[in-house]
Amino acid sequence: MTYYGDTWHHWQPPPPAAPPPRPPVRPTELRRLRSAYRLLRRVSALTALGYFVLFLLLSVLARDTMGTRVAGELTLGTLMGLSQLAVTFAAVRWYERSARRSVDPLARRVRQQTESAGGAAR
Amino acid sequence: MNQFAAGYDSGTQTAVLLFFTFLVTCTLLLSVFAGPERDDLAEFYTGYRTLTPFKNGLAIAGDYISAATVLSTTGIIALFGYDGFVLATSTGMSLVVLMFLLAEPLRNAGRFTMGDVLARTMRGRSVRIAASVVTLAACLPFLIVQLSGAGSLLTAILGIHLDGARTVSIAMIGTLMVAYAAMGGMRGTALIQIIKIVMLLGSSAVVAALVLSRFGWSADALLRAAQAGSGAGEAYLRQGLELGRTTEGKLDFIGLQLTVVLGVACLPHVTMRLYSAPDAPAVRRSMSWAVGAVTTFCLLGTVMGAGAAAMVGARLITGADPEGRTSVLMLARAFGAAAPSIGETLLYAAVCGTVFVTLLSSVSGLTLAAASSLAHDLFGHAMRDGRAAARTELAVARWAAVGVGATAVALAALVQDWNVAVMTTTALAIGASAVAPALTYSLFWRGFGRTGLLAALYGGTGCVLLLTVFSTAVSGGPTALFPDRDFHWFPLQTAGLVSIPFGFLAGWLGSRYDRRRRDGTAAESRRRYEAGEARLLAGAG
Repeated sequence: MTYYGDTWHHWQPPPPAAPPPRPPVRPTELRRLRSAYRLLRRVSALTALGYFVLFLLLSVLARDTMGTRVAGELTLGTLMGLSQLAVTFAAVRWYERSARRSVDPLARRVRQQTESAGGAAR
Repeated sequence: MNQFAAGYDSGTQTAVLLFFTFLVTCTLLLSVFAGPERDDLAEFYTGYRTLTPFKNGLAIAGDYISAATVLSTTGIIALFGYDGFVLATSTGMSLVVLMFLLAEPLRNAGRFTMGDVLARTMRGRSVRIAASVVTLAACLPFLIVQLSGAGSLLTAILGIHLDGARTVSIAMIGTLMVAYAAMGGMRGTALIQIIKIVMLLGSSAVVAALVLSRFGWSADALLRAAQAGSGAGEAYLRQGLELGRTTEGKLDFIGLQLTVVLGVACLPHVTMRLYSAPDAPAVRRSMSWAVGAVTTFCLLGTVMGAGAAAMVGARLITGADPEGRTSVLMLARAFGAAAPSIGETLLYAAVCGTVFVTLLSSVSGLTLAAASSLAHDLFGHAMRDGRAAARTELAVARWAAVGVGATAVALAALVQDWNVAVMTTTALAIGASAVAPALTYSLFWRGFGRTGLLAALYGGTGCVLLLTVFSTAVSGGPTALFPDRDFHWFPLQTAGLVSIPFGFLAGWLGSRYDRRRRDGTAAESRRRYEAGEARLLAGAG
């Protein structure tokens, strides 16, 4: 079991009446983490979803164009559907790589700050 | 189903029956031995936190690919070609959206159920009750549709034509599913989901390879044969066979795909699996394995569906089931149509076994999600304010599984002769119009207030139910739930196109109302959101 898993187990839901004051995290780090996550989400979701929505709308609205044969029986629409697979895998890989590089180090720092601040407060 | 069952030899059926018994024994033993300790709630609700991301990803994929996906999607591909291809793509997309947008903060914010995520910024039992009600509203229809399908499938596979045989099979499968959920909890079902996804990918890969080799490994030849077999010709490779080319048909098609993309991944039994990852990087790794497994299956399913159109033909498929849900089985059977060899009999038994395990695991996953929400949100928090003893809550969870199972079995037996396909889209639409807005706002918007949350959950669900009841899927059409009656005024089959925007709008308006009222609840939600942000984003504290 990892260290974080362990702390998670000891975490209790805050009593409903009065939420305990959180130990302060330096707001800049948290803000940087928030915007790193936001950028990651926007780019990856827009890529994958954008391609899908384009595929969906073209299938419905440009039915004849999508039905033109590209190679043998393979139509443009079928080809676009198949390339969705490649787009998905590429987006997932990109997401993982950038999350490891941009988000994880920031998250680690925020965690360390919270823990040291929490220790001092207690 | 009769045509499909005809032409069975007893040897094949014995092999299938033996295989079923073997599978049931193995999975039952597993769920007993892997079940949680007597009073360990965390083990019951989240299973193993020690599962590697690869195995956890397989379990997520297992929970994600339901029997409805396996049977209906391949059937739609077989009968309607291109529309089915798009559906398979949407099914894959949904998990990708979950991974990119919700998975990591959801893991950090959640503990056991959706109620834990939503209640972290808001006080009051109304939040817990709403979470529980919506979980049930999404899980029950999905459970009923799969159970009632399981009844017809089992009697067809085993070739039993007695009165009441279907009701008996529904009750048997229901008993098994309750046993897995109540004894195994998330630990036991994790193992069953892993077995199921491995079997599913393995047998689909073999069937797809056999289909391709039958057509000389040429996609051209397969597509040509599929166009001929479907009887639709050119139209098989163009959009519009399933829902028509009218304006309503086009809108309905777009609405259905959007509902699938937003809905499938937000169903409670899928999101519940995420809480069992130890931290955000692990959930990310798990999700990318799950996406890999799911998209692979979608590709294999497309090949199998086209293969069924090519080798079985639309006439026989619709003869057995108008929705085409038996097409995978008929395809597996088509390989040994003339004189089945040992290998072909084994292949058929393996495919039947896979479908059987898929059915069992998806219904038990749903039962577990519904029971967990009843025990944790409704009993543990709304009734006992989070002060219930772990042992009591665990007992309640097990009995809740029995209760949910019994209700679902009774309802499934009641509706077994109806065309209940509408219930699948209802469940997905509730996921997309109530759960998706509630989770998105709760995780990313500090101004989300309690009225907004309740409006999104109840408003979204209510809108889906109202529109569905008066849609063309329920009355006023030959394929409707009540084909002889006509009281529809909503011109589409899927409510999603209207209900998804409605759910998001309701959440926003409700939150604005909270802020206007200035009684402090909006400010408190905001304060709690900000206080918990380090945990939400970094898993700290």
